[in-house]
Amino acid sequence: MTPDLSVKFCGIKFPNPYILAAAPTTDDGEMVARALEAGWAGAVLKTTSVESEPVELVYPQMGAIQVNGQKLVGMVNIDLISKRHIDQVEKDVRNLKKSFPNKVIMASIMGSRKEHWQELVFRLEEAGVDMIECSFSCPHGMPERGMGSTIGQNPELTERTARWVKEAAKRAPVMIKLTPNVTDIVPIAQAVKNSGADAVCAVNTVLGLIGVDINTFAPIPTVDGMGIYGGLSGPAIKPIALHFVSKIARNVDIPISGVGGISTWRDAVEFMLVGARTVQLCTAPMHFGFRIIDDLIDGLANYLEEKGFSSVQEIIGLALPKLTTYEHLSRTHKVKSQIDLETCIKCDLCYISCRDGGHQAISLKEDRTPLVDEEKCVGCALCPQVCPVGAISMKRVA
Amino acid sequence: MVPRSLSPKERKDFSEVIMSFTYQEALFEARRCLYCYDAPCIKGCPAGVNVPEFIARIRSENVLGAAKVIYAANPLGSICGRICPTEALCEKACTSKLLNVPIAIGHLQRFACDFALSKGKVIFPYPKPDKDPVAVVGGGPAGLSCAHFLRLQGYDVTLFEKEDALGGLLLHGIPRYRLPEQPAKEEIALITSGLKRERGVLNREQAERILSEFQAVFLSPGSNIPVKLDIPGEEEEGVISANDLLREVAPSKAPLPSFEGKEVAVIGGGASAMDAARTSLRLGAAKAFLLYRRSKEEMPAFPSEFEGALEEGVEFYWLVSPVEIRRINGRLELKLERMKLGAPDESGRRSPVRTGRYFRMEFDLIIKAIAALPDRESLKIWPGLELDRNGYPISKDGQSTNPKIFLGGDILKAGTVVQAVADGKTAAGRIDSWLKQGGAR
Repeated sequence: MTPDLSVKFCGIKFPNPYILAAAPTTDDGEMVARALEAGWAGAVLKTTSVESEPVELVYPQMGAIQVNGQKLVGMVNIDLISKRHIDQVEKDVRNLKKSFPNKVIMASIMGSRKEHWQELVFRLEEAGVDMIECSFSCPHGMPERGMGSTIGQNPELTERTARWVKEAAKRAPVMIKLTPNVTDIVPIAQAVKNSGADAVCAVNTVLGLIGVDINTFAPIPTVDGMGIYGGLSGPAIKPIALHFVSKIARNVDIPISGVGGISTWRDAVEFMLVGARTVQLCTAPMHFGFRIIDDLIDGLANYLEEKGFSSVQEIIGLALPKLTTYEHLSRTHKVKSQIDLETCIKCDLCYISCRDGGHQAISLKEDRTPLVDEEKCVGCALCPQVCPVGAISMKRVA
Repeated sequence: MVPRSLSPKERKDFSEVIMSFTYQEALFEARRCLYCYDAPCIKGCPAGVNVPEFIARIRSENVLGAAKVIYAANPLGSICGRICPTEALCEKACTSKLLNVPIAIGHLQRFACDFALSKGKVIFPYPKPDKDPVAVVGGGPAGLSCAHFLRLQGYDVTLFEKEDALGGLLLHGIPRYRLPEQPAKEEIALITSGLKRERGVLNREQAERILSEFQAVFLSPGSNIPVKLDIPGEEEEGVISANDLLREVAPSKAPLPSFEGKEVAVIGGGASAMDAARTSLRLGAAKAFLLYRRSKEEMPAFPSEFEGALEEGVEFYWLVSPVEIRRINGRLELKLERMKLGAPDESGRRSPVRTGRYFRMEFDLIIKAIAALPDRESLKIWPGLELDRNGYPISKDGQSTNPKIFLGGDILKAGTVVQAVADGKTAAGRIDSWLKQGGAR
């Protein structure tokens, strides 16, 4: 039987857990329509503001790191909220709701004072928006004006602002998008909970400097010779996002939409296993287009079917009980490196990494076949990480 | 991946068949390298080029650094990147072969060396000579390599070569579609700049003088006397040797002979035979046939050379041996005997065995490319140099029966340019340690 991919999130039914995050991909009703047509469950329209809020963008906006030819392992942007103010977004919401009544249309908002936040909520609800997301998390540009992550880094500001929005929202659930640029996210998520808001979205981009041009000495991206810190996204931040999502899930009783470095159905499964009810993507569709939804959906369905789940909701939080503290990790559990010589191609990367980065437990035979000395092997599991053919596993010995 | 090459239809002249990697292609290919520890490719390279190190440097876009690694081991890096039978050497040993296809090591080497050459960044820091005088006889790849490595160590080297141009077979034995003149001349010029030279053909008296004036001699005269077919009619007009043909078409401005409309037979199965056949087609031959007395598996030519000939339309006749040539009505009639394979001979390959069954074919030209042997007469001038029955000097670890004379290149049966380079390098090391132990004193 085909597993049910739909999820209930803040009382709203999503046909599947995949949402386009507020980003360039959702900055235009026509683009969002194509994405929803392609199969995405919903979209958070790019963050908008009241008409009086000036939005001046600079170009270029993007920079990325590639690792051994793999492009966009991490991407930094210095984009801001949308240039399109609430008057245009209202129209998009109306049109999209009309064309896609079963898809979830969310809008992301940002304001500099209470009246603005509340006006945005009022007008979006009038337009028929399903859910409202509030950006307390943009790490670049906006904080210089007391907006974005300035709010999300402070529990008091978070609670106060979230309360303004929640007060104004008569119908649509309110979700607060959090920044990872904090020492502890739990008090922030708790502040959201205290405000009465309905959900959190974790996490926004990580403040970063993607690179420096070694010829011009200018930061990247370079705007007329100068640069700033930007927001890092893409696969590189997945571990950071997983940490924050699981941390919130373990400590605060609030629905979570997970975001940060998700590019495949596997990533999505991991986010749901640590407590996310929906997931948002941005960098991956920016890289490869909306079409990735086909594999996101199919891969997830096949996984669930193979594991015997009838609904994707059954996997939410399954990994959480297995997260513990160092103190509680077993001291008697022992593993040893085990090399499958049938698969081994004798590149000897395990040998050199164990020699110079481990415990000198792997030696080479005359024919360059690696040999594990179980006396010396402490079971650190560096070698399976470097093996290019997956020939090494960690065998449990105690 | 491999770089683009000319399609067989585009191969009408002597333009280089295989293109260079573009910068992006080279990066793409370099990224596939696993960076093996104790990498088998290094052992597969006669010159011992540190392949994973130079590829890692291409990957980090330190291409000049990559060239530095290559040139430290092989001063003819660009040349060898083009003409090495990598499929039988480094790439044969490549670990990535077990994943999919080997890394295109030769093409990457060519890319890195050409990059450094184009920037004028290939510089060999020869010190002022302060060590013993050493003579190098023969200016082919082995001799040039030996002179290079000796000079790097401070030896006072004099090169004896009868031809004006240095490089030996590199300039007159390898067709330009495999090795264009430019990179060859450029690398040769770099390692011969400031090298003391003496020209002219040597005689006994000069050999004795050299032995008395120099503390050691590196002898690498090559092995280029074509072996005769030893059949009736061999002297007929229209029967030529592959060596002569390849030498004639080698210079870039040479007036090329026309084989327009001719049917050409090439007798042999080695590199020269493939080159002669492919050259004949480029000269306009209507057809080029390659006749070899054993089967495809026993051919000494490397797979890439055979593939090239096959792509270009050379027709192969295996297990046939020439018996007689007759001139009939202006054409050459070649009588051939069908052969079969017998037990392996001393080379380890299955030997051709006569069947007594004959047939005849007609050609306009017959090119002999069966083998080449050392020039016995030119070797006899060296006192104490003993030769075997084929004219090769008898040696142990590259040192001849006259302990002052070291050997390398085709006279040591190098077979490839990279092996000749390796011979020269090894001999330079041996000469150094032999002289440090007192030499002939």
